[in-house]
Amino acid sequence: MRSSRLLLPFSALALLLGSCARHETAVESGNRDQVLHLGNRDEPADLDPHPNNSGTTGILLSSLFEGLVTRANDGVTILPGVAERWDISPDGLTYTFHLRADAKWSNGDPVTAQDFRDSFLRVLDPALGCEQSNVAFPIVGAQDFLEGRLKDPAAVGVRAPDAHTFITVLRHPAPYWLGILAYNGPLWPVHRRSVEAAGGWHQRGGAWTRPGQLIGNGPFVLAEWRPNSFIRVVRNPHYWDAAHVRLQEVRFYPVEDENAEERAFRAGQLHVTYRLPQSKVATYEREHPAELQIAPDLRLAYLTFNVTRPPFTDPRVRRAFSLAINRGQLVKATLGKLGQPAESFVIPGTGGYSFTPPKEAGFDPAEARRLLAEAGFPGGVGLPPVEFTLNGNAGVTLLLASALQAMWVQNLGVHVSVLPCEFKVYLSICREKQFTLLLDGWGYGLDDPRDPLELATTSDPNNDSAWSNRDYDAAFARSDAALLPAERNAAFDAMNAILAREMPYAPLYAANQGFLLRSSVRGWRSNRLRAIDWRQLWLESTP
Amino acid sequence: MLRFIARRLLETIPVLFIIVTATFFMIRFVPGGPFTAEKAVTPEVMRNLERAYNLDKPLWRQYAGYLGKVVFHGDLGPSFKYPNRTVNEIIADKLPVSLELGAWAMLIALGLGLPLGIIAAIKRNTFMDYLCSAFGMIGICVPTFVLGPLLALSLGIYLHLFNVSGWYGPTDRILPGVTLGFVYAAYVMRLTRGGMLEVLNQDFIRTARAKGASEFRVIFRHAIRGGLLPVVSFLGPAIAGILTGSFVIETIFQIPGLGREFVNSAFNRDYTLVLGTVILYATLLIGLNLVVDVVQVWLNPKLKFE
Repeated sequence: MRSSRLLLPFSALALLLGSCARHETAVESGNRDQVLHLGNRDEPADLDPHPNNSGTTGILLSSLFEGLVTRANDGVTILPGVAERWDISPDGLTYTFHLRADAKWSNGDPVTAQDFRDSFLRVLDPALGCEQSNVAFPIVGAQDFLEGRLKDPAAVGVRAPDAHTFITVLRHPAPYWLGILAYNGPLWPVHRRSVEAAGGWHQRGGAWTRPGQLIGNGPFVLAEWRPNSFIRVVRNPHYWDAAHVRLQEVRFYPVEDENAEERAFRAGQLHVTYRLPQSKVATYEREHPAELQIAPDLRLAYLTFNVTRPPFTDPRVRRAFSLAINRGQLVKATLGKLGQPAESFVIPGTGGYSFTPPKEAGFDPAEARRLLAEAGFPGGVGLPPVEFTLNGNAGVTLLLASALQAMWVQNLGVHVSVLPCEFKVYLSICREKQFTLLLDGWGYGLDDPRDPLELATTSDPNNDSAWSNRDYDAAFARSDAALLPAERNAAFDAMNAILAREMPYAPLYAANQGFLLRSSVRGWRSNRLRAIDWRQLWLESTP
Repeated sequence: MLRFIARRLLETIPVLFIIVTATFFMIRFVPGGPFTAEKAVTPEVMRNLERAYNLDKPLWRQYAGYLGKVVFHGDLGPSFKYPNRTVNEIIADKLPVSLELGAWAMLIALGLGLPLGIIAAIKRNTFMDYLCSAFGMIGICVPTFVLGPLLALSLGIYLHLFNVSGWYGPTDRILPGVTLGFVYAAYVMRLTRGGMLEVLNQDFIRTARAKGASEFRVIFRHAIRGGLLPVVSFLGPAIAGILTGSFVIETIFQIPGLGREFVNSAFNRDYTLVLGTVILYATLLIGLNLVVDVVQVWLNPKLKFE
């Protein structure tokens, strides 16, 4: 009697567990059916490429849309996209793109030069307020059109003389122009008729981006969008290069929590993750080194000094704070493999350019103390209080802040207090310059030194330090006007030298990407822009 | 009773009005806005964005416009963060998920907590009691963010029995349901035990026993109605807590529920979504408290509708 009473719950439990016995994982069935399961961190706000300002959404959009040119899986090589070839005028200002005749929208309509002209003008439509419309600013008249000073779209330097020829006319030579055209969405085409039908041409949020309605020109089409669950895209038979697309389907999972993402990977639900918690890097290195991917990223972390607030009005104090940081030790103690020390504002190798930082950018506590004393604060005495504002209080942020705090105490005798802020509070503090010292960062949109260096120009909205330097701005203008690479690099060198001397920003480290990748994913190449050429990928079960 | 309910419902109107008004202005005075992004935009673009979303109008006009739409059309407006979805759509999409998760959790909480509590009370100070009470203690002490990953690790990753993330098939309900239900089961168990012990010591129980009623009849006929009173008063806030507090579970198990939208909308400064979820949760809370009050009067002869 007693034993049978006990038996009941146990047999029920056994039945339950038995009924859901070890099932085939998503990765296993995906390998068989060429379905890639990809962790992509964020739920996309929308799938309209023009107002997009998110890198992760950009990855998703690259499966649905294709620009004039695209990037190869190495993240560097520019490949023909809708344009099969292009000519650049000798002065570097006029780009003539020859569109392939077989480029089609996912409903079968041809992709024409007019589609590109319409789309470029849509990005600049003042009513749409696209956050990344500034990427089109090299085009003649683009900025004036966006800001309402120019009303006539014909005066903007985009022309479509015939269905298969598209011309952009630039204000200045821009060797990175093709890179911008390949970048993340703002300059990719949309299908005007379907966007207009949903009322989405002059405003955001048209229903055209929903499954069944979204018409794209990329290797995949949108099949299903379950908010906060997944987005499923399937092979687009109308894509001009569909013969080379081997994946049948890709599922993008918006897993915000990096620990949850790692668990999903381990349980066989994901082929690729977007991130890996820093605390798990060492374990993967030891136990599953083949799955661990560490690759350079184009993301720089730095200190921003508010140059309008004492004590950082004095460049000597700013340099002292920078010289007191042992960057090698800082990275080793906090990020480990997920970062590398940086002494220059341009991550080495960006766009093929590297800057050798002068001696004064390194670690030199004696010189730091001397500068601080010279500025009138020997041993930190009399220094106005410094508040160190942080974005959030996540583990690594706090680790970095406390390591820096300790270095300033040890090497300068200066105590700074720490103020962690919620993300949007932090951002508004940055914009309103209500801070003394920030732990800041910048993700490059472009693999070119111009991208980070523009940030320190006087008129840039992201110049949080409020620093302004006429020589620097002039050097920046020179770099834009330069036609020859040597000329351009000389201007970059000049800017970097000014930054090292004036130190409105103190570079700390360049972030590395750390993520997990199954060995069944073939053709994957980690690159600094996280660019994916979908045609290169396929899945193969490992024996 | 109807008068009682009608009066309580009337009282709801000013309460909701105050909640909406306070939320509307509080979220507006928080630094940062829906379009504050990592990469700053030029002032022209920001102005265009604000114009497109009517954020350039005076605050009181935005407030009046919003209130009018909500009251007369039940329209909670478009989401700021997800421009191609309205707040009504997001709620319609996500609330059923949270409700289902909550229902599973409640089922586990009651299915586990009630029997264990009753057993513990009947077998007071025996090994069974200690076992059940230990469960209660552990359940209360182990937070969901520990239990969730533990279950995912053991049953999902090592035994491959369940998905550790997602909300696709029926088996995906088990881990999150158990995780969320476990802590409530512990509370229910402890409250049931306490309530039952108190009732079992009362005179009318002794009378019932003296009259020769079977133990089964004593427990399930006489004692349980009074013994469950503490559980019932706990259930109102507990259901509200499960619905609003599923944020952690939804994040751990990657569940597309409303709890995440509720919390993230505040981080995103998605003004309309914040207001929409607040209105919904406030209504739910008020409604649940009313139900609990009615049930309590029905269960407890000492109380009257007043």
